[in-house]
This record gives sequence, structure tokens and C-alpha cells, in this order.
Amino acid sequence: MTEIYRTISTGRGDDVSPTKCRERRRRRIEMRRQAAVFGEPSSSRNRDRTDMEVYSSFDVPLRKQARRSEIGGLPADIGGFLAPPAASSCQKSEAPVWKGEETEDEPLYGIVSVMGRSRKMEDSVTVKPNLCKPEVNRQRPVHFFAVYDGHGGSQVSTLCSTTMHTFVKEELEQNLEEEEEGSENDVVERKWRGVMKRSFKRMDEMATSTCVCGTSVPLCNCDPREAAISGSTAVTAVLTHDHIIVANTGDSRAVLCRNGMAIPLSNDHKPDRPDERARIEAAGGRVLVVDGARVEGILATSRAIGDRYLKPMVAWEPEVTFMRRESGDECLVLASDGLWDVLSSQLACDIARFCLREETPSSLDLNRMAQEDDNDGEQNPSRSVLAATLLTRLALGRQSSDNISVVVIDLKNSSQ
Amino acid sequence: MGSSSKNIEQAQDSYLEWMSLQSQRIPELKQLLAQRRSHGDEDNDNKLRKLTGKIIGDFKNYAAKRADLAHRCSSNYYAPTWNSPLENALIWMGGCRPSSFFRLVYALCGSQTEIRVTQFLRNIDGYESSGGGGGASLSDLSAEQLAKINVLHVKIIDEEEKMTKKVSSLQEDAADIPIATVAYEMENVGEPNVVVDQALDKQEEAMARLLVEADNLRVDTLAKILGILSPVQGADFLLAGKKLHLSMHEWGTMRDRRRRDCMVDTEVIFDACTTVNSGPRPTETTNNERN
Repeated sequence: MTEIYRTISTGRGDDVSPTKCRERRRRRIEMRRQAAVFGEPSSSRNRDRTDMEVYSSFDVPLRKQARRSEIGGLPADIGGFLAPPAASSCQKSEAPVWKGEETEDEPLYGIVSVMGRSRKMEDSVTVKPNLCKPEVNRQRPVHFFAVYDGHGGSQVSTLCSTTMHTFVKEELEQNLEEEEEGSENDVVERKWRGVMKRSFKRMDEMATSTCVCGTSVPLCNCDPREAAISGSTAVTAVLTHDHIIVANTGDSRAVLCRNGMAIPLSNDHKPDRPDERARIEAAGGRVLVVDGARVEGILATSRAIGDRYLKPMVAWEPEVTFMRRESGDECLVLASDGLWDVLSSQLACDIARFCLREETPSSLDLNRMAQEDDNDGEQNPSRSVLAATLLTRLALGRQSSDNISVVVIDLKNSSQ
Repeated sequence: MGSSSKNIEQAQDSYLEWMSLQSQRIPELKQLLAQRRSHGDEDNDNKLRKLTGKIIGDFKNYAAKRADLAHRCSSNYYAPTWNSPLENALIWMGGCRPSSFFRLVYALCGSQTEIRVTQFLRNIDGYESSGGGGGASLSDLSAEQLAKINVLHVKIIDEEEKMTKKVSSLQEDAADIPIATVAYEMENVGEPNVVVDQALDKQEEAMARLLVEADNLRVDTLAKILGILSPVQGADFLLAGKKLHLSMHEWGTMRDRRRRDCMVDTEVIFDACTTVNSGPRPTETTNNERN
């Protein structure tokens, strides 16, 4: 009880800022307005939503577009007539608002994933909004995003895309009572790091023991050399109300756009990174330059899930970044190296934030298509999609030669 | 022999007719696209749809003619004498690779986006951008369109690979029983042989069937891409494709001619040297064979 009180007290400390008070009030008003418009149907729609496949997820922004355009489409002069019903709707909506989770918006995001100029699609993207409501996040929802870039076949990246988030969920729902030393924030951070590390370890163990044909290694008759060179990078991000947790293995990348600056939340695992080279050589491996630095002259990333043949030089262990969210956070970009090989983090950040801005400059005719289709230029859900689309198109224009997968998450309009 | 000759002439005539039709379509596409840019409206979109539909029809008609003729002279379609060597080096199963269509979409979409992003970023810095704005419809590809194109791309490459395996197998048959063994057993190289003729007839017939399949894949891929693109994007794409096809023919022809002219020049120089050296020491003149 004392601890709970202390938590509340700390929370109140954060509320002192008048700016944050205003923001919180604005969000509450927005939530009430939305609840007033949608009421129960919105709630049931959320409940009915099933897990989304990569491509079917394109329906999400469109659905949200429809929802918001209904709000936007309400003529102002009719407002007077709706005054009495609106009042009663507000009263009704008190209950849904109190539930909190039921009406909380999922983060707005856009995904584009294309084969590009390669003749094989080995990338995979997974997005799981409202993955679970773990104790470590005080029973509030967490949202999971990931990009996997496979090599030597798509088996491992496909396996990651179907399984990694279930490991994260399982690890979060276990109530391991670790030592509670340090400040509350330190405890939370340590728990998150443990969750991500254990999830990646389990994922790597599964990948190295599963053959391309789907059976366990001891039971199958496939050529063991073929299975042994299949692997995948994995950059994952978990989004909570207060934090962004990024766990990365390999050379895909996560970048936070904060007040216009690109802040790396991951550091590419390349064989010629000094500490990676040292680790590889200490493990008995070599870094050879064959069309770029490669582990044993084979692999261009120094860490990966799978790749049994190159273990232990090619490690599974992720680097984890635990980042506190701030009001200046604009968006988060996760992408495979098909994007980062031809676009700098800062340029990607600039383009994404321009797409996400509320007051879109009229000269940005790059958004014309979406506006023509929707007859409303203020579609927030479409902005993340536009950002991801624009980044992908630009990478194609700069002659990216690999698969390109991009996820853009709008942090300004993601209260959870 | 006469009949065979007529078939080949028909094939070439059919090709020339097809190329001529493609040339005609270019100004038609340009005109409608220009109209769309000046005053975009629903009626113009309908006209564009109609024209792109006609162009798909052109392709289908040409494919149907090829299907008919291929059964009589299929190998002439695999290495057409009416193409330049460069074109023949780049074709797949007697025509363009269906997967090339996606590269064209990506190239147009990407390069046009690069131009517009560059212009936009300059505007941010206060530069005035007076130019541009014309013919950039493919830089408006939406996420949904990119996703649909990607799904189709994966599928078409898979189909393409399957077909490539079939033709690989056919090509290997030429080094197998009975063709290779008959060649080996022959006293005089290249003598006519009934068994070989039958085997080769069978092989060419199989190649003809594959050509038809490949043409179907090309038409199908094109139609599906146009189904994903908007009318104006589709027209831009077709315009780019036709310009590329006709340009490659001209470029290839020009490059080949230039290469042959170079050989002629070499001979002239050699003759001059020979003339200078004539007299006290007799020299043998070597005749350079062309090709």
C-alpha cells in the first residue's frame, strides 16, 4: 500500500507541468468525443478484431480513415440539433471511458513490405497492437512491432514473424519475482531487458532446431548444410505509454524521430564494427572482405537468429534499448537494410515527420493520391501509411537492390 | 520449303505490324495523358481506361497470332531474325520477362518520387520550384497498391521460374538420346536423318507450347498490373513500356551496325598496311571473314 501510494505520488509529480496537464485534458476530451460518436459499436468492433496478417493490416488505416472521416464529415451547423442527444451520449460514455482499456486507441502505424529488385522475398513484418497487459506495465496494453530480414531462405524470418511475439507475451505474463533492488524505473528496465533477451534466446533455439521443412532437425532427411545457413535479423519494438523498448539482432534498424532529430534505438551489427569483430575473432571466427565485410566470408551481418552453421561467431543475443517517451517524440521507424542501405536515418526521419505533420503544406502534393481518395486531407491514420509508402518509393528510386520493409509508428497521436 | 518460308515471312510481318501499332499508340497515350494533366475529370479517366483496354487487346491479338504461327516455326520465335542481337540477348522465352514489368513500375515510381522529394525538401529551405509537376503519376503509388504489386510480383517470379525449368529440360534433351547418339554414330556429320527430324519436330512443338504459356503469362501479368494501377498510372506505365521496347530495337540495331562498320574500317587499315609493305618482300593477304 505504501508502495502504491508512492507510485501515485510520483505520477502526480509528473502531472505538475501545465503543458502535460493540458495534453492530458485534450486527450480525455478526444476520447470522450470518440466514445460519444461510436459508443458500443466501436467497442464491439475492437473486440471482434482478429490477429492481422501483414497484408491484411492495410485494412486498419482504411477502417480508421472511415471512422475519422465520419467525425470530420459531421457538419458544424447540425451540431446545435445534436446538443441534447450528445449530452446523454456523454453520460452514457462515462462507463466506457472508465473501463479505460476498452476505448484506448491503438497506435497509428503504416507498413510497406516489398520484394523490390531481389527475386526472393525473405523479409517479414509483424505488428501486434494490444499484445497483452502485463504487470510490468501496470496492466496497461503494450504494442509489438517487428521487422525480420531473412537470408539463405525465408524459413527463419517466417518462423520469427509467427512466433517471436508469442514468446514476448509468454515472458511478460510470467511473474518472475526478481530482486527488487534499485529505483522503480531500474526494476522495470531490468525486467524488460530480461523479457526481450529470453524471448530472443528461445527464438534462436527454435530456429536452430527446426529444419526448413518444418520438422525437428533430428527427425528430418534434408541436406543439413542447406538448413544451417538460413537465418534472420530481428529488430523488435515494444511500445508502452511511458517507454519504447527496442531489441535488435542484426543489421535492420530502429530510429526514433524526436524534435526533428533522428535518434538511433539500435546499432547495426556489422562484422567490421570493432567490438563485433573482436567478439567474432575471440570465438574463433574470421571477418573476410568479400563484397563487404562478412563473417567467414559468408554473412554480412554479425548477429542473427538461426544460422546454425556459423554459431557461435554469429550470435543471437540482442542489444536492448530502453527509452523513456517524451512529448517531442514524433515517430518511430523500423526497417530492413533494403531501406537503410540507401537512406540515412536523418533523411528517413525528415520525410516521415513531414508526412505526419498536422498542417500538411499544400506544396506536399506527394499526398495527393490519399487526399483524392478520401476527400479529407486530415486523415491521421493514413499519414503513417503515407510515410512508409514514401520511404519505400524513395528507396526504390535510389536503386535499393534488396527487399524493403518499413514500419512507421506515429507517436504524436499514440497516447498508449 | 515454300510453305516454311511463308510462315517465317508471316511471323516477321506480324511482328512489324505489332511494332507499327505500338508506335501509333504512343501519341494516343500522350494526348490523353496531357489532357488529364490539364483538366482531370471522370470522362478522361474513362477514355484512358478504354485506350489501355485496347492496348491490352493489341497484345492479346499479337499473342494469338504468335500462338498460331509458333506451331509451325517455333524456334524462329525464340531467336527472331527481325530482332537486333541485343534484343535477343535480353529476351526470355521469345519475349520480355514478365518480371521486367515490375522493375519498370519500380523504376518509374522510385525515380519520380526522388525528383519530387528533392523538390519538396528544397521548398522547405526556401527555394522556389517552378518546374516539374508533369507526368509523375507513378510516384503516387499508395501503400495498398505497392502491397498488391508485391504479392503479384512474388507470384509471377514463381511462375517464371517454373517455366524456365521446363525450357531448361527441353534444352538438355538436345544433348540426350536420340539426337546426341545419332550425331555420334553418323559417318558423315550432319547428314539428314529421319529419327533426328522426328525428335527435333517433337522438341520444337514442345517449345511452341511453352511459348504460348509464356505469352499468356506476359499478357496476364500486364493486365493484372493495370488492374492495380489507376487509369492515368496505367497509361503512363504503358507509354514507358512502349517507348522502352521501340528504343531497345533502335538502339540494338544501331549498336550492331556500328560494330560492323568498325570491322570494315579495320579491314581498310589492314589493306593500307599491306599496300605499303608490297614490293621487296612478298606478303600473304589474309581475308577477314565478316561476322
